[in-house]
This record gives sequence, C-alpha cells and structure tokens, in this order.
Amino acid sequence: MVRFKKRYFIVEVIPKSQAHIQREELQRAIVEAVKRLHGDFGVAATTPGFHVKYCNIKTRIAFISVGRGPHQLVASALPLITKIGGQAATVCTIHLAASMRHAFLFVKRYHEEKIKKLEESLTSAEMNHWKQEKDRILSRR
Amino acid sequence: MKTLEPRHWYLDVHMDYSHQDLPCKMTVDLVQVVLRAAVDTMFGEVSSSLPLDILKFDSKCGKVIIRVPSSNYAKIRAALTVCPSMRVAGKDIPVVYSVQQASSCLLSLAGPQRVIV
Repeated sequence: MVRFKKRYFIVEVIPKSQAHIQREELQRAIVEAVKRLHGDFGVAATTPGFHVKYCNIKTRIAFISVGRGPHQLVASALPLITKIGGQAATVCTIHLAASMRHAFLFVKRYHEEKIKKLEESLTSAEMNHWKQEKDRILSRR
Repeated sequence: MKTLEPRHWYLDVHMDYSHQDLPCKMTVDLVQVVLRAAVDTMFGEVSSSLPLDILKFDSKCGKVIIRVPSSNYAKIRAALTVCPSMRVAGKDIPVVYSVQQASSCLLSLAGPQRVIV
C-alpha cells in the first residue's frame, strides 16, 4: 500500500491576553480560515490527515499535521487567523517538518537557542542565580 | 512561430431560474454578485477576488457572457457547474448554471450554438 505522506507545521500560538487555548479551538480556527480563503474545496482537500497533534500553551508551541500537497493551503491560511475560541490570538509558523520526530528535534533546538539568547542578556547576579537553579533542576533528574 | 497564451477566457452561461421566485429584478450587478458568491463558496476569497466581468446579460432568456482570467477559468467553470442556488435579497433561489460555450476568443461565441433545444 502506498503510504500517506504528511507534513507537520510547528507553530507558535500567541494569545493577546492570558487565556487557555484548547486544541479543538485551534483546529476549528484553522478550518475556518481555510474555508474563508479556499472555500469548500480547501476544507475538503485538507480534511484527510488534518489534526492538531500537540498543543502546549505554556511553551506556546503547537503541531499541526496535514497531508502533503494540501499543506500549502493551510500554510497560506495560518497567518490570517486572528481569533481562537473567541479570544484574540495570532499563529506564527516556525518550521515545516516531515515527521513528528524531526518536529520535536527542531523544537528542542529552538528552545535551546532561545535559552542561550536569554542567558546572554542576563546580568552576573541573575546569571549566578540561574546557574544555581539549573543545577538544582538537573540534580533532581 | 511563437504562440501567445490567451490572457482571458469567455464563457457563454445560461442561468436557469424561476422569474416568479425573484424578490427583485435581475440586473447586471446582481448577476456579478451571485456569480462571485458561487465561486466564493467553492474556492474561497483567493478565487472570487480575481476579475470576473459581465460583458452581456439578457434577463429574458438568462444568457450571460462573462470574461475571466485564463488562470481562473477552470475554477470558475467548476464552481458554476456545482452551484445549486443563488442568494438574492436574503432568499435562496434555486438556479442551474449551464456553460453553453467557452472560448479564449470572444468572436467564436458568435458561431453556431451546440445546444439541444
């Protein structure tokens, strides 16, 4: 049997206020944006294999899986999302991966780079405190 | 010899609807609105925002000649084929769009009709 190729969007969900965004709400918002931009054809083309696989509101990262080909319709609709579940929010595409494994590897690298940038901006006192905290967390493992 | 790709396609569309059901008189502007709405439902704003010109409209027999960009021709023809109704003054009126002729040359629409009467 021929395998069904997929693409995984790694997106950053940025809510305007401190709100808890559900996975289903994000999925509904994407479908609505695709329907507005590409109509019934767009929705029908993207429906097979379309899922929000992972949504972590603390890290603001979400994975969206779509079949390869119609993923371009979703890609064009993602920047047009302005509301998720009635709350003002935007979606920013960070990366497009071909498997969940590579998506998680990218997210790990992405967070490491962000932490490195954050460490560079810390003062020496803050840096010492951060190192102590980091050692404490790592020793617990 | 270099052949030039046509930029526009012309469609001779026949609108089949009941005149009694219409809440207002069908005008050229209204025809453009309902045709755009049909494309919008099927293919969204990406396709419905592209040019769609009404060159001729005969309200008695429901004949419309439209001009569309050649890149959007297939989508418009597909959307009109499957459209079941048109929304006029908040009322859904059943309509059948049948494309009688389509050509990249407007003059060829003046040729013999291939319609079974």
